[in-house]
Amino acid sequence: MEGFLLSAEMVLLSRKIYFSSAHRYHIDSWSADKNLAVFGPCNNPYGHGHNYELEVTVLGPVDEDTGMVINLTDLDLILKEKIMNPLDHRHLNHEVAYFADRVPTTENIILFCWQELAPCFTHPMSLYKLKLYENPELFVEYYGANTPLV
Amino acid sequence: MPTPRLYKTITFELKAHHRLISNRLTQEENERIYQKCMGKHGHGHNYKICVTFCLSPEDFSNGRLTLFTSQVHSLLIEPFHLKSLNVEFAAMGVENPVTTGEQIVSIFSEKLRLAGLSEFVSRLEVQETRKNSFITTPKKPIA
Repeated sequence: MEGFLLSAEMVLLSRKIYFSSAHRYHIDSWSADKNLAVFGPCNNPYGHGHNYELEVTVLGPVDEDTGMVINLTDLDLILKEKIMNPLDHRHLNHEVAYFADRVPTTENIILFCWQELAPCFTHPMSLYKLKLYENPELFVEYYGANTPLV
Repeated sequence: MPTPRLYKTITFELKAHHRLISNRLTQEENERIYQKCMGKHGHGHNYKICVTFCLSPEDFSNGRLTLFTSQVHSLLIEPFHLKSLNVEFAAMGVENPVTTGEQIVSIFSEKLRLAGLSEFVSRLEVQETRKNSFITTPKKPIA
């Protein structure tokens, strides 16, 4: 399959941010035995924590005057409001409503981030990709409806 | 049956000076938009230029990859290494050498395309810092 191609004027800009959160893998409707069997030590009562790294990639045309897709100062404000404030130094199970009925796995956290960030970028800009590291050995990627760039 | 393709990314390091300033903006607009990035004397980065080659398996043993790697180094690294991007872009005829990551990746992509390498490079990334990177595709767009 031919890879996704950008038109000449379009550039992908990626910005990394870091947040530290606690989480616990637990489903209320399951028995204690089943939670422990499925989630192992990630089901421990008080949860545990990670230093997450989120890479946010925005697709857009390069403004001829500023040479930018988006001003990094503006992007940082969005990331602070939508990601850092609700997630950094929080217990995701207890402090983020989105996870009241969802296990805060890396997969669900990236979906939360997409839900929060995608509406912030309007035409001709758009959110292209998120990449979330839980630790250096484990990460997830999400493109929404976009095609991955080869 | 489609030809098998292998993707290999080679990273080059480019140490260069730049200063974010647009000749299409007023002094006040430049200061508001670029802030410390338009400091009077500029600053610099250890840019990482990541070039992803898309080649047939044979190209990895017939010397083609080595040739392309050398060409990329001549096109993107040698002309700019330990120099000022603003000065070098202006000398190339860039009308507004603002030297953002977006502009650097676009100019580098165009250099690869003009050298006939776009067919073999599927992805070009300019990492400005550990936190910022800029990506484009030197191939001609589908539409």
